[in-house]
Amino acid sequence: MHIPDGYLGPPTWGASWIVCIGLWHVSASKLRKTLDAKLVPLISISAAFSFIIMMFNIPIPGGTTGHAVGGGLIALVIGPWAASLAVSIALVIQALLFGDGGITSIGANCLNMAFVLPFTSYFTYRVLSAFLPTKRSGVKALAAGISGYMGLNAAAFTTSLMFGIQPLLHTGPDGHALYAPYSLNVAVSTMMLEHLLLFGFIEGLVTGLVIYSLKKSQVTSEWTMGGFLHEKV
Amino acid sequence: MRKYEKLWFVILVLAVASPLGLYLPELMKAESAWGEWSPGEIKSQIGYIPEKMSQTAEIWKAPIPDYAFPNYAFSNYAFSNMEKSSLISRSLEYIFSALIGTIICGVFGHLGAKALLKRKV
Repeated sequence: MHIPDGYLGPPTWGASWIVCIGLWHVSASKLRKTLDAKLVPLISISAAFSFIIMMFNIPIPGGTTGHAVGGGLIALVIGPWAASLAVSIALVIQALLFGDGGITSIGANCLNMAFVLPFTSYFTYRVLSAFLPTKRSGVKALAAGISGYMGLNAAAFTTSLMFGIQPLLHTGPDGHALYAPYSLNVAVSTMMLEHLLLFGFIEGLVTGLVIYSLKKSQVTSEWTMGGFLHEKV
Repeated sequence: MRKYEKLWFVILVLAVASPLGLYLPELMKAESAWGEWSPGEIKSQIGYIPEKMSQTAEIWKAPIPDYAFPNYAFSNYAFSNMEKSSLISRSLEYIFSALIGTIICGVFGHLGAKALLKRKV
């Protein structure tokens, strides 16, 4: 899901940067008002966790690879605004230091994985917790898992849209693509299929299992947990 | 404080286990993630490298490209024909990258959060 350099034309990556900078700004001002000192070590660990979980490439045998992002989990634990900060840090480090994801596409990648993903998971969980008895650990883990699944798929969808609009925006006179070559149809259907069928479940599994073990181990009792582990919402 | 140490220990375990993210795709003959192909791979798929892509794909030289030291950098995990020893060194480089990456993320996460905290009204 890390869009490399050369896949997006300047209008797409430029617009993504602008939107992303705007959202970072909103995120920072939200945190300035609400950030509890107890969350500082958790934001730090969350950035590291997101970084490391993305290194676990999961194969589709004979096909492509994908990975979890942890953005949904992080959103449920420290809230979506802090999650966007933590995942953005991981994505920027990956791009700058390891060439995983492009430089021009940092805005696009952060938009997809650091905003679309955590916010989708967060709101999915909010909706689910209105209907399900999420005070029970098992149910909470299930709701968290579904939220992770939804979040990763939402991010895959917006990523595939970015890929898919490139041939519409940038095609040479000879009919050759100038940037990402696959059509909207191909990009959306391929990426969604692999995320709906496999990678979404990986993200869901990571989200559900970690939420379950955090809850069970009581390690989280003093934390804010985005309000969720203690059902303050 | 101890609870955070526990979580950092989990991160450390994940870092040591991270070469699984290399071996599994290799084992199952899986290639790059969709949309993350090198220009060479694109060419083998569609017969040409999109013009602007070839101009901008290499715009940034990452110091540790693809989580491997530059000398041993094989893009896109296509190392099925590599010697076993280089698979081992590739794993060590991957673990090293995992450690460096998580530490830097941890530091920036901490600094970023602290900075936002200070300006709290």
